[in-house]
Amino acid sequence: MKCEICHQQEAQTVWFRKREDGTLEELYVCHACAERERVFGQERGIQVATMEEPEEAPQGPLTPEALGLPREMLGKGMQEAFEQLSEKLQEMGITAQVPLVSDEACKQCGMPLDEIRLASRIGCAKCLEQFRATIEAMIEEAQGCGSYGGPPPNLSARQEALERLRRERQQHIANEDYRAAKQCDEAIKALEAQPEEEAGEETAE
Amino acid sequence: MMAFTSTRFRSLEEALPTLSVVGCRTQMSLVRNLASEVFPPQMKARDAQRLGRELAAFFCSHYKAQDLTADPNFGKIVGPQFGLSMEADRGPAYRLVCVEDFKGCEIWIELMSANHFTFSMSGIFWDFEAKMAVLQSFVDEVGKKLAFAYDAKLGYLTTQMTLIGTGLRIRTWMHLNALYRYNYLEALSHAMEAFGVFVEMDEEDTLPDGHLFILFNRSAIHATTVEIVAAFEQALALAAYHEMTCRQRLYRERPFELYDSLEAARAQLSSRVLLSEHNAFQALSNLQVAVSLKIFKSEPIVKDFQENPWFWICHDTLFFLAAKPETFHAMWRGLPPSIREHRELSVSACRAIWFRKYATMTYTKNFLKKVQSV
Repeated sequence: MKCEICHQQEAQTVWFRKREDGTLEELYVCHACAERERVFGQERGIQVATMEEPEEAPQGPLTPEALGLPREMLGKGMQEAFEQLSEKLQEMGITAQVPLVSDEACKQCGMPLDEIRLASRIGCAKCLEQFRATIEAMIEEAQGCGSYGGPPPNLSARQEALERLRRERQQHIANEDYRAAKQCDEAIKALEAQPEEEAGEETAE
Repeated sequence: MMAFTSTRFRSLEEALPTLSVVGCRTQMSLVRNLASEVFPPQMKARDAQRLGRELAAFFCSHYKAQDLTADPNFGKIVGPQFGLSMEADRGPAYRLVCVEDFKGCEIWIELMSANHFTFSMSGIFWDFEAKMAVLQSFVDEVGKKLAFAYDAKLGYLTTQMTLIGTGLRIRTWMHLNALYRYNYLEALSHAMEAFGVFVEMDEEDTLPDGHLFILFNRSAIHATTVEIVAAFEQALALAAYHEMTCRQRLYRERPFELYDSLEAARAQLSSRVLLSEHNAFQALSNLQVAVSLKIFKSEPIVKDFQENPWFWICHDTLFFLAAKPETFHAMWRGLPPSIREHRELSVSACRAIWFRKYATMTYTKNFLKKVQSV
C-alpha cells in the first residue's frame, strides 16, 4: 500500500492526525512523510495525536536536530533541509526518499501540490498537465486502474461501436483467441463499409 | 460461512422480483467539467456565481427544463429523495436544474458543486442499461455544445480522483437487514469487490438508518459506462439473492428473534408520541423484512405499507409527501400548541401519528405456530 501523503513510497507506519472538527483521521504513511508532518505539520494546523513506532525505525525521532542539522537551516526552505536529511539517512544506511513537501502549485488555478495529495482532488485540467506523474499514481491507487477504458468524446454511435470492436479484438489477440479476433475483424469491416446514416448515428436535436 | 460468490439467478430479469423487495433506490450520475474553466472549488465566488447562472440559462433555453435553485421547499425535499447534495453541502454558486423530459426521463443537473456539472437520474428502477443510455446520450449531446475537460489517457476530468475517467457514480441503497443480523456484511463486501463494487459500511458501532447500505462502483476509469453498469447489475443481483436467503434462514432458524424485533417495532409505532427519523427507520426496516417473508396477513394495511416506499417516507422532509396536505394539516392542528411551535417536535409528533397504523398489521397463523414451537 502506498503512503497516503506522497503516494510514492510504501506505507510503513500508521499515523493519526486531528482534523479541524476534532475527529481523528488514520493515515498509512511512510516514515519520511510521518516525521515531516509531525515536525512541520503544526505550521498548517495539523496536530499529530499519536504515532506508532515502526519496528525498523531508527533510534529516536528523525528530526534534523537529531542528525546534526541546525534549526535555522529550515528557514531556507524545507526542501533543502530534507534533502540534507535524506543524505544523512543514506549515510546511516536508511533508505528514504526525500519527502515531497513542495511549494509547487498549479500555474492556472493555484492549487498547491500538497493539497492535491492530501485532499485527492485537482483544481483544473492544468493540474494534470503539471503534476501528471503524481496524479496518475494517485488515480491508480484510488481506482485500481490508471487508464481510461471508455470512448473519447463526440463520437457517433458508429464510431463508438468501431472503437469497442477494436478494443475487443486487441483483447482477443492478447488472449490468443484468434477465432474471436477474426470475428471482430469481420464486424469491423462490415461496419466500416456502412455509411454513417445506416449505422444509426444520432443527430443532434 | 456462506459462499457469497454463488447465486441462483441466471439473469437480471430473474433477479428482479427479489431486487424490487431488497433494493430501494438508485442514483446514477455522470460528472463533467468545462475544458475552458478551472473547477468550481478553485473559482472566485463571483465568477462561479456568474458561470452558474449562465449554465442554468443554457439548459433552460435548450431543453424543457426548470431552474429550481430558488425554490426553498424543493431544495430541502429533493436532496434525500433523489440523492442530490444536501442543502448544507451546496456552495454559494450552486444551482439545481431539472430537465423534465428527455426521451421520457427526468434528469437532474447540479451546477457548480464540486464539479461544473453533475447529471443524475434517480428513483426506484432496475432498467439500468436503458436509463444509462438515456443519461449518456443527454450528456453526449451537451458535450457537443460545451467542450468537457478530457484527457486521452485518463478520460473525463473531475475534481475528485475517484471519478476521473467516465465520471460515472452509480449508487443503490439496499436493505440488508438479515445480512447485518448474521454478520455477513463483510463477507458480502469481499464478494462485491470482484464486480468492482464497494459496500459503504459505517464506522464500528454505528449502523445506517433502516439497515440501508449503499452499494456503489469503485472505479470510474477502467471500462465503459455500459460495462460498469453491467457489472454493477450482477453485483446487485448477488447481494439481493443472499439477503433474501438470509431472511428465509432467519425465519427458519431464529423465528423468536424475528418475532421479538417485530413486537419491539409494533410497540414503538403504537405507543410513541414522538417518533424520530432514526426510530422510524429501525422499526420500518424490521417490518419490511416481515412483509417480504409474508409474515403478516394479507390485509389492506400491509398493501398500504408496500405501496409507500418506507425508505423515503421515514425522512423528516419526505414523509409529508406520503400524506395528503389536508391530512398533514389535520395532524398538525391536533398537536398541543407547545409542540406545534417547535418544527422538529411537530415533525416527530406527526410522524408518530402517521406511522401508528403500521402497528396494526397482524401475524399469520403459520408464523405464530412457528414462534410458539421454539
